[in-house]
Amino acid sequence: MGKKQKIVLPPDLPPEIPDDDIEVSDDDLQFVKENRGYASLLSTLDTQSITKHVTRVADAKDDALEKIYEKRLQKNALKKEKEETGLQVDRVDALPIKTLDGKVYYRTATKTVTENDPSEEGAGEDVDVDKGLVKLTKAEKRAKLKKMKKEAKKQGKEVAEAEVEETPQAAVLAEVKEDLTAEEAFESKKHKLAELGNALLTDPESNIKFLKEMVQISKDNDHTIVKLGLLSLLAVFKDIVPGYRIRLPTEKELEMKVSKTVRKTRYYESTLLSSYKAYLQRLVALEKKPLFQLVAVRCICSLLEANPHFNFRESLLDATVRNISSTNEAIRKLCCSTIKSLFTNEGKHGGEVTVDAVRLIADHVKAHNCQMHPDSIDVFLSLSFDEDLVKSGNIEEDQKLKNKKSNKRKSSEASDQSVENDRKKSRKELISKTREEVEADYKAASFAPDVMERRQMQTETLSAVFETYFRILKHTMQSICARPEANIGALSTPVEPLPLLDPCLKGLAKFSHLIDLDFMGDLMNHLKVLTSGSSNTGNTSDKSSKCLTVSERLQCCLVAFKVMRNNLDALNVDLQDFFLHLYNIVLEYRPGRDQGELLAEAFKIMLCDDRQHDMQKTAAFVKRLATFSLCVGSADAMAALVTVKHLLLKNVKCRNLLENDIGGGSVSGTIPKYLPYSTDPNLSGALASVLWELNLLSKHYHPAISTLASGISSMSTANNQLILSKSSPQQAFKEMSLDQELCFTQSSSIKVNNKKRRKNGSATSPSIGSTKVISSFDDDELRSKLNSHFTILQDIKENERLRRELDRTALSLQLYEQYKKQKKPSKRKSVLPRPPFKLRSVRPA
Amino acid sequence: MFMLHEADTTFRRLLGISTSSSRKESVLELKNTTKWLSLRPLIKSYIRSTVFLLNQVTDCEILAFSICRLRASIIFLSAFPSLLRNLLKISVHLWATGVGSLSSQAFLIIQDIASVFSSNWFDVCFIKTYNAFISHSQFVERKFEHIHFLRNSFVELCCLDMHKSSNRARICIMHLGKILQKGWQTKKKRSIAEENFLIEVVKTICSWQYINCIDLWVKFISANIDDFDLQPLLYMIVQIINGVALLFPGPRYLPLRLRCIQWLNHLSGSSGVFIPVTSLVLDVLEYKITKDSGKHGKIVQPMSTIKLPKHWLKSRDFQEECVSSAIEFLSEHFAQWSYHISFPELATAPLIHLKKVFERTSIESFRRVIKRFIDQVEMNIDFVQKKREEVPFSPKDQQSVESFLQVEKRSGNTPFTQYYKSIMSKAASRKLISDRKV
Repeated sequence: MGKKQKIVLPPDLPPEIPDDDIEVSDDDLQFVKENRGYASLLSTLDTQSITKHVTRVADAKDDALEKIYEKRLQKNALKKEKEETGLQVDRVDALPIKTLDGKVYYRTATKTVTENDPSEEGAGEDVDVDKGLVKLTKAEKRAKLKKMKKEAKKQGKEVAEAEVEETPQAAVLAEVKEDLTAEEAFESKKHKLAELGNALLTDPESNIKFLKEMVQISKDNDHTIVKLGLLSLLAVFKDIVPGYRIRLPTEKELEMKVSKTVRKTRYYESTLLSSYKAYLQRLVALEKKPLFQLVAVRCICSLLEANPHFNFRESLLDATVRNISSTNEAIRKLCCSTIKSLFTNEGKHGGEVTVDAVRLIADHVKAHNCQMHPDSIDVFLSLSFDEDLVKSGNIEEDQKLKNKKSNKRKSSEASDQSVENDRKKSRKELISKTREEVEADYKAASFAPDVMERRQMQTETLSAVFETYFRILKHTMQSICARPEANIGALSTPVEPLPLLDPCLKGLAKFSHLIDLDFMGDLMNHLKVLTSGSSNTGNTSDKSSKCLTVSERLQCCLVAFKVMRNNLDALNVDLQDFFLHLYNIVLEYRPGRDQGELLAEAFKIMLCDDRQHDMQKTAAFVKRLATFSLCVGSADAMAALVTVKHLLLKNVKCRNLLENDIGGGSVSGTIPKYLPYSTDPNLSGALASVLWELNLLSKHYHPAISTLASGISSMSTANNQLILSKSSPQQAFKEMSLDQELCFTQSSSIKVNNKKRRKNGSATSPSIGSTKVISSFDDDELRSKLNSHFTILQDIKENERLRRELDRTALSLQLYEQYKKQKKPSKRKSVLPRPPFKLRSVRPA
Repeated sequence: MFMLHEADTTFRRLLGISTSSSRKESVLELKNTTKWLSLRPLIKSYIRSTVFLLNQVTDCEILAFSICRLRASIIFLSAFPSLLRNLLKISVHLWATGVGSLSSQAFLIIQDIASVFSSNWFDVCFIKTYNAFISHSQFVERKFEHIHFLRNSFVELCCLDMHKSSNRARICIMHLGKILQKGWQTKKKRSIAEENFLIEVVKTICSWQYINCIDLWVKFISANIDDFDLQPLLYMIVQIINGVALLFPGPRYLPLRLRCIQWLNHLSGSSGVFIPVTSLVLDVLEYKITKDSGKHGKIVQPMSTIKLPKHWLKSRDFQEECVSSAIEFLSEHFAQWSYHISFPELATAPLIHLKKVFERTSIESFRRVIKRFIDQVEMNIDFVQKKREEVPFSPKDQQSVESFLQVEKRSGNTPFTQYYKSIMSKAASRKLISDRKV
């Protein structure tokens, strides 16, 4: 037995690199092919020992397990060889998975139909083995074994060589690491993780019990190991979690007698589920520790994204939402993107998760009293509501939700999405045949829910979303009312106290067509108050304007108008107030601080698109915008001017503003004189004014503005047939603001410097310099300075000369000495020449 | 000494060139004569030794004197281009580093080289001086006069050949624009990875080098826009300045912003083009509404820094500075257009805002200044409006609009002009005082 085991053990196969598994099996294949004679023997020996081994060491040490795994692979390979016809590599989609520790796993799925269970197969083969075994004598056996060993060694070497060639650096690195025992332990754990993960990926059904082990590993003390464990578990789960929800068998069902395969599946599922649960618990626990937070959140998010249909999604979702307004930006981004993908890929989970998520977020907002990061509400923007569903609901039971004006863009978006989903699915189908059935179930699950149910869910979602929005609005209202007392003396940099208002308004604008009519009145009132920036509460408090930024107020106006437009004036709300506010907001606008896009949009929606303008108001706006464009940068001025042009084109009578005929106008308003400081457009008496601004604007530094201004000023009351300019203020704004950055590249090629009038070429320069040209130098001083300079120079020269001389004499003395020495041999030693002390003293200081 | 004094005249006499003429053609003509041949080595050695002297000596006066003498005989240099190059190198160095008259003398040499010799030499001069200017504006924190001098002299140099220099200016301004563009783009993206890069870009823009470059070109444009058509350049630089002003919000960058406004006013004043600055000025006013902590910090000279240290923000001096400079700039802006027919409209929005500010501030000195300004502007509005009601033409009649109130403008004694003058003189005296304190 012992001998046999030795044979079977692959002696010097480095187990670290999973690639080897493949290589080994290939080599084996080749080897066995070459020596057909041994084939039967080998296989028989092999299987026998292994079956015994497996049964014996099922719960042995870890290292042993590893070996077992190795062996099994080898055996599988052998089996492949043996039953060449029956060989099936069924999953070709196995792309290598790269985990964080830099290893590449190959999914070498060797799962075949029959040989799922090693014990079964082993048992089946035992019969053959018995037959073959008897014939062999001991001696023969020994000889063959020796040969086997040699072969195996050779193979090992080859493999090792190949490996060295492949990754020499890695090998060296590995060697270095082996010196350190701690490192070694770490490495071994890492390897084990890799092995286990690989095994699971290779054959999840038979290796399902490894899951528990992996979960165990991830509870290690070493941080890195924990992280690695979590991540590899993530990879495994992502892959093996089925496309359906696992329902644990009830007691009754457990009692029932079932077939072997069913039992196996049950075992598989329950193990999977329990370890999944353990894993999740671990994740949720770790998520609270700052050290592991990022990793845990990442795992949670990607699990949720990959398997939103699977069991325990509630806890996942909960954890995600909890972190949605985390202060850590990376975590927040992860969570938000996960939620967004949940919203956009509703097909995966049939919309249930959407409802849950929206609910949770709503609760979260409530719990935090609207003090969260704006991102957390921004996710609502990626929600998409199925128009048709809502519609059918309307017909059936007079639903509250209203959408007469269906937004085409959105519906097309939705259809696009579903098409995409379909395509994805079809690809999946093609790839994995074995999953066909599951796939069908999946489809049924995602598409089947009847209309009623879906509508129900959608209604729920909507109500949750709007609940959140209204909560935010109300909160804002409250805080505005409370603020004046709270902070006296608004500071120069207002800390944004209402982080959620901005996304909330955005969302309201986007879903304005879905808003319940009952809420509409309330909403409008809220918006009105918000827009006015509480200035109606009393102008005495001067900080009032600080309560909401100009952008936010503008946005309120915009939302109100969008709501009205989308509902086709089903409500009888007076929008005059909003005009009034816009009229005043324009003056408070600052280019750097506020969002110019919003302003341009407001111009577009409120002024250009409005159908029922009365003249007085229009004139007032024209005047105000022209004035406004005198004070701001080019982009904003352009937007304003485009609006002015638009208004003037539409309202013929307002063109009287362009003419200077005092009192003689046919349309002199009730107010005879223009009051520029009036806050009400209707009372400003703008019709009596003249657009003198255009003259100044035509001197504007920006060529586009100046041409536009002169174009407007040359419009006359006479010709009505002017072509309506296509460009909207938004567009103009965008162009101009982009201009600000890109104009330089455009103008690079052109620009010839044409000179109007060339002045006299020799432009005498009357500058500081020339005044000093003739400034007489002090002769004496200069002379003395120069003298001193030259004397110094002379001194230096003299010095150099002396030194040279000194050197020369010293050299000659030396030569003389040498000469004397040479002569010495014949004569007696004479007196040595003295060193030239005297000469040395000559040296100047 | 004697050599330096007399060499030029001697050579000239020998060669028969009149002392006043400085045309290189005469030298080139002489090249072939026998007289030249005989004198050539002598002149060459003279010039070479003088240039050598320039390299050796460090004393200012000697340098200035010898440069001055060399300048007198600069026409001879046309015969020795390599010596000329040496001389240029030295004089650019002296120009950038020297002080007082030496620097100006050196500049005169450069100017002469650029003007007397061919256009290639102008290019060389331009590039060398520009580089020197940039590298010196980098770390000179206190020597503003010198930088100013460098700037002015460089602009003068540019004036020698407008055609070339404006083309070069366009390239340089475009470069500035590109840097700024980068800054904007990174600001918009706002991702973490870019944060470092953003800081880097901000550092580039928010450095003296950048500021001085803009300053240089502003000066250049405003000096020449009357005579030449520099409209595209003006447009580009205005866009850049606006971009810089808006790129750095926040009170710490107020000096930078004030500087931007100053530039814009300057440009607008010299070119007669309308450049709106009101919103920028009003922004400045916005910041100062903070409660005054009453701390009297060091004397702040906002023009001398780009970014303020934080502790100055709350100081009374700083706020005072803000208010007064805002009013100054605004009145400068208004004064320019005070005779324009649309002055009332121009002043409307700022007035509304100023009135609000007036209501908000509690400090008496600020209130007084603002009040006075408001009153003056309103007076002028009334004045223009009254005049305007009498005119028969419409806004589309550009020519008659141009002639509107021109007579009054020439006489220049409307109350607002006088007010503006008083404001400016006050500002000047204030600056003097603060300078003295520093």
